[in-house]
Amino acid sequence: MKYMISLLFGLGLFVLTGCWDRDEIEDRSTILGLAIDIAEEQEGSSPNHPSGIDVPLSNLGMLKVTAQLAIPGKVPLKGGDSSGGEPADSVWVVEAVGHTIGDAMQNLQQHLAHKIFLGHLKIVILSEEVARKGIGPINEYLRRVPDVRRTAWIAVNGDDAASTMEASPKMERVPTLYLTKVFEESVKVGKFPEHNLGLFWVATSDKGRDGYLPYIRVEEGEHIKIEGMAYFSGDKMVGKTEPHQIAYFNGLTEQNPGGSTAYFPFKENQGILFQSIKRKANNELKMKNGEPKVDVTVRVEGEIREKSTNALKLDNPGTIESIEKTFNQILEKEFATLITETQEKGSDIFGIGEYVRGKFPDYWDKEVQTGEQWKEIYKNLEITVTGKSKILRTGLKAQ
Amino acid sequence: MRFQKQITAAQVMMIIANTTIGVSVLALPRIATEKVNTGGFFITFIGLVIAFIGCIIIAALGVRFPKKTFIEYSSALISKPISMAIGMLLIVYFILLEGFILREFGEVMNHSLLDKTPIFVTITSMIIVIAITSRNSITTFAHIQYYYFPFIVIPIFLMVLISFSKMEIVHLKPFLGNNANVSNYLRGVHSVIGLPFIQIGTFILTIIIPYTKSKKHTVIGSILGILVSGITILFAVGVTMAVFGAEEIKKSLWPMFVLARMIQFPAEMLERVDIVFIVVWIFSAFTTLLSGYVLIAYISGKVFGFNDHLPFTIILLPIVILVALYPDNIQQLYDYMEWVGKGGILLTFLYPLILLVLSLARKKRGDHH
Amino acid sequence: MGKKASRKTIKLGNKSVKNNHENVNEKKTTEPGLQMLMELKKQFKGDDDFVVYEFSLFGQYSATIVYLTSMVDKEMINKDIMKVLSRIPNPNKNPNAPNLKKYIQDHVLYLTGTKEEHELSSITNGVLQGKTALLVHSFESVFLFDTYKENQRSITEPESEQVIRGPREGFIESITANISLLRKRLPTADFRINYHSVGELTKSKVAIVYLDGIVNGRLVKEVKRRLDQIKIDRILDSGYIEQFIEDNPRSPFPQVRNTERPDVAVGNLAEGRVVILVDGSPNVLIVPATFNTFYQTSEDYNMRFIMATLVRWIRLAALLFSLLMPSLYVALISFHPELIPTSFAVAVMSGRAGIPFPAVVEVFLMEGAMEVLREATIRMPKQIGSALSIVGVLVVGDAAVSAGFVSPITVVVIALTSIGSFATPSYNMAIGFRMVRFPLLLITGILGFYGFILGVLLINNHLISLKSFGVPYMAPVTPMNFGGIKDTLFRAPLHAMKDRPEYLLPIRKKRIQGNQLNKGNPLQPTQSKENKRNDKK
Repeated sequence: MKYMISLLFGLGLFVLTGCWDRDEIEDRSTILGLAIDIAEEQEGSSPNHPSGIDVPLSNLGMLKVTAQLAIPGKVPLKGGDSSGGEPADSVWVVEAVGHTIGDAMQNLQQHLAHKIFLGHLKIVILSEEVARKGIGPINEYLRRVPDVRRTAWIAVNGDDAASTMEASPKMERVPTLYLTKVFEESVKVGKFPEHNLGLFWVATSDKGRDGYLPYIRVEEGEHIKIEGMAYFSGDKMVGKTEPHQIAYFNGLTEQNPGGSTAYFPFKENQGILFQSIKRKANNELKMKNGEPKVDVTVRVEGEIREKSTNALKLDNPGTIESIEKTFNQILEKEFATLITETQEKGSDIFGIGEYVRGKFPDYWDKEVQTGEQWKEIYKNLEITVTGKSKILRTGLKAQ
Repeated sequence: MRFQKQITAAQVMMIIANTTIGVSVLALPRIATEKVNTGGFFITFIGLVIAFIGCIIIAALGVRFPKKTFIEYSSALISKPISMAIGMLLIVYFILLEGFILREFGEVMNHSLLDKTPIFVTITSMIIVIAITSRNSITTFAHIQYYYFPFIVIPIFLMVLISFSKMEIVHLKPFLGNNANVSNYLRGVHSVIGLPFIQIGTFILTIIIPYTKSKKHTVIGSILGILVSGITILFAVGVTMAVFGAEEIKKSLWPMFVLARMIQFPAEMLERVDIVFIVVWIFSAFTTLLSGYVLIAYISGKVFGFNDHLPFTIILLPIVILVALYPDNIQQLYDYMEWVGKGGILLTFLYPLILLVLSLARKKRGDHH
Repeated sequence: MGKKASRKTIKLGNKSVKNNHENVNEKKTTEPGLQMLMELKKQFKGDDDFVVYEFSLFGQYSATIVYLTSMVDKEMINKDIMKVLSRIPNPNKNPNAPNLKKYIQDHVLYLTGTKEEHELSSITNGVLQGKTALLVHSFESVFLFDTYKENQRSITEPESEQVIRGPREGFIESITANISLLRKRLPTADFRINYHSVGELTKSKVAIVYLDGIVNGRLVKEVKRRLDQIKIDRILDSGYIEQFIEDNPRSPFPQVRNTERPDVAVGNLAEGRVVILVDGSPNVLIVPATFNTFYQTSEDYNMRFIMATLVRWIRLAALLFSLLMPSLYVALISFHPELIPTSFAVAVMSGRAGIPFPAVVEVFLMEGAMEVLREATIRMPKQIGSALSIVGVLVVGDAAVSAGFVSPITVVVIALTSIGSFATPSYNMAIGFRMVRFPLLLITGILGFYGFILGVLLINNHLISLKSFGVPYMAPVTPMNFGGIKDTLFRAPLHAMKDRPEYLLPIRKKRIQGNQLNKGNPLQPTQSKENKRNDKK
């Protein structure tokens, strides 16, 4: 009887109403990547509001979204099938303009027959302009849509973001998947800190921390290069590091596994290529005259990959020790540069504020309380860095 | 025929643990951090200690009257009319709770999986499954709870384990929280124990005690049950807070759900394992709601003088659905939930405490005969 | 009954009592045996199989033998009965009328299983069972000789439960042969058989077999009670009995296990279960059955334990596959593509482009086609069957894909599902899961993944609440019993499974007492040197 009831119930539902959420995978406009720029052109007709009237804009002004969609039937099922043609054929790039992202997405929907589906959004690219104006409104949209994954990547493009969507790398049929791989692989080999959308949001939300994003550039329409890190103060991008500074950032924030390399001069005309294996950072917080003071000790363990001359022999413990010493100085200098730069811009990407909040809650409750206040304090925070390197091995070559 | 209709300590433990871990745990980190920021972990701990005490009170009462149900021994302790009146109150209270949990579950499902399906359908289909399942004996109920226990607890610990790499201990500091003062703490603890995951978990004991093997099984089972669920919840809350930090948690409706969706296994094929956690949340909602439903049906059976609970499994169905559909939106739901949950503390903690005190004072026991 | 008949008058079949009373009064003078013969003739009137042969016993008494030609061993009747009865005995041993009966019994017949009957109904029954009745016209009682000739096929390997390693014997249709197969393997005095006769027309012999002192007495009592309650005209196979005695006839899952293998039956007897044999059926029933028994085979115990455990896991996975795969596929493809990895999703999208049906309909059609194919091949002669399945699977599947009718991934899913259900050793469990798959697919088609989980919940809860003779169906798992887990999810080494399954509440719990093998190294070189030295001495 129970089964009859439940069966009848199910059948009744099926016959009377049908299935609400059924939407075949090929009947969705699956957006793989999204690029957001400041719009130069005007918005076309919008389904969201009467055209021509003034609707409130976010602080970003008019936005242009460029979406990369997977085209069903164009990605060959068999890997070895080479008749598929150019990678750009398997995706479709569409753009639309709107007052906000949500508005722009609805305008985008106007171009597409099937419903927009963000469940497979792998990457969001912001133009530098958007990032500098503040990405609050973008976060607002992405947080609210349940489909968006926090494992998606978000990055800043130095030029216009839309070009990223049109780039067609040769390696992968779907350009966005290649782009995601670029980030994932660089995290895996220790060249970039793991920082996807979710972690970026966490960093932006924390009062004593600021977010940072990969800063990329598209070259020759197909290469995608990580050109450094864009760092934020609150939700506004305030600066950008050089590519080599990412390694020092990784050291300061104890990102593992190591893997980034540094080429540095040792004595006259003797260059050493050092590759990190393991990083360890130790923050020591002290209260001095009612002000916090931070001592950071960074330990980097690694190996020598190459040297530029044969004059230098690596068979002596003393030499190795002096290389370590030289490298320590370079480390300290670079760390200090990076910290000073971020301090000038008021962007605590190292999360020192969080440590202060954790260690001195009384101080925080009395003096800081808000994120903005912390940024002010951070600007004048006394931070000393000690670098300690250790060469574990020098490769197979004896000298 | 050849099975002793008796529940073991392990089964008691799993019933309590399954009942306590439910949908409300998804929102728990947010509710705990709302008032005292990083002190949320500590507040959860306090809440669980209070739940533990509540559980012990009911277990102690039950052990004194091992063959009687709650309604029976309460009418022996405080005259029958008062006991019946409070019994009615309890029924109303648990129906409200059940409805709200059901609604909360429906909202989670509609937000995560089925955004176009009417909430009525989500809710009704779940409660029908529950009503069908509740038409079994208490022993089978114990077996069912036993079966789902590993499917709930193991994945949660798995989630905790995988998230370890993303944890930042600094997010848990300071342990007592920023802006932590006594009034904030009191309000925080009140909100946490007002959440409907503890009440049903402790009260379900009242109906399983007459079926347990012995006093020892009841006591050990209930202590272990609340410990296991407490540790699981604490771990889950702690990890959620450590990954997100208090500020980020406040921004999401169900932080633990977001955590589950953030998890990534290294292998590409297992890129999106949150499917596993969706299953877990459905299972845990099911076990919680099943306990609640069985609880209401049994209490109703006793209060209205029926031999068994079976008629109520059908009568309750439309009532619970109506309650679940009553709030207009999720904001209202959480408002009602807090209101009912906080009021219910009197019923679920104070009332058994009074009964226990009375029973101790009058030296009334039910296990002599 | 029976004892009353020792009175002088013959009690006759109920139907014609009144009628015959008059007859008895009327022909009081005629011989009682002759009268009985007439009654018998009346009962078998028009039955050409019924043979009545009158002869003269020892050349002086008139007598008749009666039998059904198709049931009896004619050679036996001719040689062992007619020959000795017709012979004119030695005149000085000439039996006289008063001790004729004793003479026949003691000196003439050498047949065991000979009975003396008085009642018409039991004589009729005897004749119907292939016995030969000897009616000496002057006697009140009738001799029944057991001349039944069984037409039984030889013992072969059961086709439905083949093994790679293990005995090749299978049960056959004859209950006596089956019992002998069991007896042979269990030479113990604890072996008990209780016969019941079920079915008003068929009067099928049903035997309850158990090991006294191991099996719980209440279980045996309950089996007997349930068998006694069966009211039906015919029992043609043990399947009839199964449907009467199972706890929940509406459940799609079998609650009684059946087997054609004597070794399986013996193994279950030794664990404390009860085996029910039905005459005319090669399938014997085993009760109580729990879920785990349906994915175990006798071979599990013949193999080494690690392999057996792995194989068991594979089988369990296959069972789950056959139930869950199609629904899971539908849920993921048409409801929640966000739950599958992106690169896979893109590939699936490509495969499905241009397919006219939604995934649910596609899977329904393909599953339906698969079921039809399966049903078609089962009843086909073997040679045609394999050809048909090749046509069905290869040609139709491939053509459907290239016609753009179904997507290749659907075909993969359907194939996996079917293979999964073939990997389940028990046919009735596999078919249960196969059928439950469709409602599950339906609810998934409505509510997506949520519906899928609800369906799984319902199935799970149903399985847990099922009982087979009072034993919870999911027994060693829930309620948990650690000893039982050794033979459920795992197959522990034989020496580690010391106890009989606890959920059967056996009387003797221990299977074995202490089992330490002491293994020597007879061929070790050092030892052989010693041996040599010993030899020289």
